[in-house]
Order: sequence, then C-alpha cells, then structure tokens
Amino acid sequence: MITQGKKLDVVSNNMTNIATTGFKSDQFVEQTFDTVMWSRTGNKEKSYTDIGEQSYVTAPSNVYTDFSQGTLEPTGGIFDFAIEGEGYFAIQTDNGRMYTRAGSFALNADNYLCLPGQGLVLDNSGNTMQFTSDRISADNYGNLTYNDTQRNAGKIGVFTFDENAVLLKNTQGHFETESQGQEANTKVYNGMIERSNVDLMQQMMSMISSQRSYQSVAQAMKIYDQIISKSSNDIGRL
Amino acid sequence: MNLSFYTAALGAQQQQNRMDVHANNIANVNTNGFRGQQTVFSSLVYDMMNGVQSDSLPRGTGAKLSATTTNFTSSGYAQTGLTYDFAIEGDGFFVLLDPATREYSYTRDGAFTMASFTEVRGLDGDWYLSDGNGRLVIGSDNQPMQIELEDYDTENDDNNNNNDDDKDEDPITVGIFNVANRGKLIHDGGGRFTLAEREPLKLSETAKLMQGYLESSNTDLATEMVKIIEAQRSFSYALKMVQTSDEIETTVNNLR
Repeated sequence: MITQGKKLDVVSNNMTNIATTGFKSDQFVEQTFDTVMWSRTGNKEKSYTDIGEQSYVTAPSNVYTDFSQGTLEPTGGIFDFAIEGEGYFAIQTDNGRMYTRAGSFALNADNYLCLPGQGLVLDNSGNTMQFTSDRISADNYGNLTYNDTQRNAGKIGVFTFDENAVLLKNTQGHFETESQGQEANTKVYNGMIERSNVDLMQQMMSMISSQRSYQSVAQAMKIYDQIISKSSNDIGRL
Repeated sequence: MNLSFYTAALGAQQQQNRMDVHANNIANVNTNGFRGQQTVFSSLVYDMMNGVQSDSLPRGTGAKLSATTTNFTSSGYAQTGLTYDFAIEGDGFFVLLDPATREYSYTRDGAFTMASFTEVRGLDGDWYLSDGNGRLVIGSDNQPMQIELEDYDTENDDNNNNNDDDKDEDPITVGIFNVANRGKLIHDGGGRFTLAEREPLKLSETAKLMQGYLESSNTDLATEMVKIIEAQRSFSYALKMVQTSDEIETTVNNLR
C-alpha cells in the first residue's frame, strides 16, 4: 500500500510537470522485497519440507527517467533554446555543474546568460557567457552573433554522455553526474523550447492502475482484519 | 502524508496562474504598444525516498511558474493621423519622466498629448509633450520634449526650430532609446516598463519614428487561445490526480 502511494507521488509529479520546459518524466518501478522460503512441518515428523518462495512486501526499486525527446514549441523568445537529439545544456551552479534540457534562458543583472534561479549557462568550452546586448541571433547549432556588428558571440555548449543513465536527477529536477560529457555539435534551435515529454495517456493509466491496486490491497487488509476478529472473538468463545 | 494530493493541487494552482497571464494578454489585445508575456515553468524541489537497497530515489513535489518573459516583437501599426501620436519602427522605446519622482520609464505606447506642468519647478507654464498621465516625454536631446505653440511637425525643420535659428543641428524629435538588456525591464502598468537600476539613456540608431501612427498590441489571439485551452486541460488533468488522491484517502478511511 505504501509502495503504491509512492508510485502515485511519482505519477502526480509527472502530471503536474506537463508544462515544465525540458522536463523528463519519471517511471516508478517496484520490486518484491527479500523473498523468504516457506516450509511445512508434519504432525508427527517434525522435519521441514520446503514448499516454495514467498515475499512479504513490495518496495520501490527504482525511478527511471525517460530521456526521450519532447516536442519543440516556438516561443519567439530571444534566449530560448531547444536541443533536437542527444545532449544537454550545461549550467554552472554554486554546487558545481549540472545538465538540463530546459532552454528558457535569460540575461542576469550582470548580462551573463543564465537559467533563472539556477545558474550560469556554459558555452562549448565550459566558460560562462557574457553579452553586451540582447540583440542576438543564432544559427541552428547554437552559434550566436550580434545583430548590429555581425560579431561572433560564442556558442551555446551542448554536452552528450555515452549513457544517459549516468545522469541523476538532483533536487531541482535537473541532472547531475560524476562523469565528463563530450561537447557535441547537436542541433540547437533558437526561439524554441522543448516541452515536457510526459505522456498524458500513460500517466493517466498508471494513475488508475495504481489506485486500483491500492484499493485491492486495502481490501485484502480488510479481509485479514475480519479473519483476526473471527479468531479473537468467535473461536475463543465457548 | 499523502504527497500526491498536494503535488497535484499545487500543479492545478500553477496552471491557474498561467491562465491569469494569458488572460491579461487577451484583455490587452487593443492596448497600444502592449507587450505580451509568456510563462516559464520549472520543477519544484525533489526529495529522496528510500528504495530497496537503501538507495535514494528522486521523487518530485510539483511544478512552479518560475518566470514570465516578455515578448518584445513588434506587431502592426494603425494610422491615426493625430499630431501627437507616435510609433516606433524597429528596436527601441519612448522614455517617460515622472516629474515627481524623477524616475524614467520605458514604453512603446506613443499616444501622447500636450500638457503644461505649472506645478513643477523649472518647467514654468510651457507646453510639454506628455503621456496624458502626468509624465514628460523625453526628446532626442535627453531633455523633456517642449512644444512650441506653432504647428508641431517633425518633418518640417523650419517650423520646429524657428526659435533657435542659430543652430543648424537636427531638429529635436521624440527620443527613441535602447536598453541593452530588455530582460531587465519590469512591467509597471500602463504598458510601461521600468529598470531596477537606472541606466544612462542611449539613443537608438536603427529605429525610425513614425508620426500619426500608433503601434498595436503584439497579442496574437490565436496563440493565446491555444495557451488558454492548454492551461485549462492541464488544470483539469491535475485535478483528476487530486480526485484520485482523495479516493485513496477514502479507501484508507474505509479500512475499518
């Protein structure tokens, strides 16, 4: 029951994040807790005979992140970027580097490109990016140029990893990893953001199935309660 | 406690906020020089729950409307033919000065009027170009824009400068100024923007002033409608989860 409750927590979070830029949905997987061997003993012969395995509870096993591509939505924002294909933007935070697909950036008070509330956006060589003006245009690979002087203004860094599983969600919902990503020349669209990849239908289904399992378990608990009450109230009465 | 309930309730609430932003955009579809806003969502804090091998698994607690960004693209112009109506073609803002607070604000709304500021020291009883709400319009010389009582015309050099014939400089027109980082502009009501930190005024080189025109709102009704529908659906979707969580609680309560 507790496990199903936790599963609902994860589903609930996915459902509320359908509008979050670059959100990657989580999938909850449960597994049986340690299995135990069941055995029986005879009435006269007191030796144990194994009759099979049995598990008492299920427990949360893992929460997998679905790294599939979200749909791109044109916003017209000057500092909105979306990655098509593999790769992540690198953000320099106070607690080190993190990676994200959320590309709704802005200039902060010192004209550095930042992910608001998180940290500074890094370019392809891992440096922070400062601009003199926000009249910027970009090609389809994240190369930025100033509109007035046509001067190069850097390239948005996109980093890929051999395996996405090394990326772990941090407390902000972005990704952290120990391993070093490689700089990649992935398509980065300007004036677009990547939408959340939550599949509404799937979430709805896991919500319903989880709720029903919850109810079934509750039913089983009720029956068990009745059995106990039978044994304590009726059998004991002479 | 039942986390999913609160996560979903919060999600519904944030969708409501999103609806508010888009409702404001739609309401301003006829506001001159209005610049629409867009919403940016981000996830809330993740906490860790315990897995089987005492490993910690991330569990999110919802989403928040983290920022609203302003869309500064310009839209169409409407010809009014009025002398004191101005529109900007290209990049830039009109700058208004509040004589009481001496604070500058930026706007794309060029529906100006003539006003005298008798109560303000230094302006005497002369006529100045004003936004109609007691603010002075700054001219291209960084000073409040004074109006000679003769017929005012930006095209006509002779008419405008007949008081200072000794100067052969460009006539003073309504100033169009640029802001280096438009993300710093804060909405201040009345289609105006302010800067948290004052910046020196910088004239825009590319923008063109158009007299007798007004810039219309950049709200695109079709886009806004799509966003409203999206917000509404997300809202009811989140509430479905609230309902489920509620039923879960009912199940628990019916255990005995």
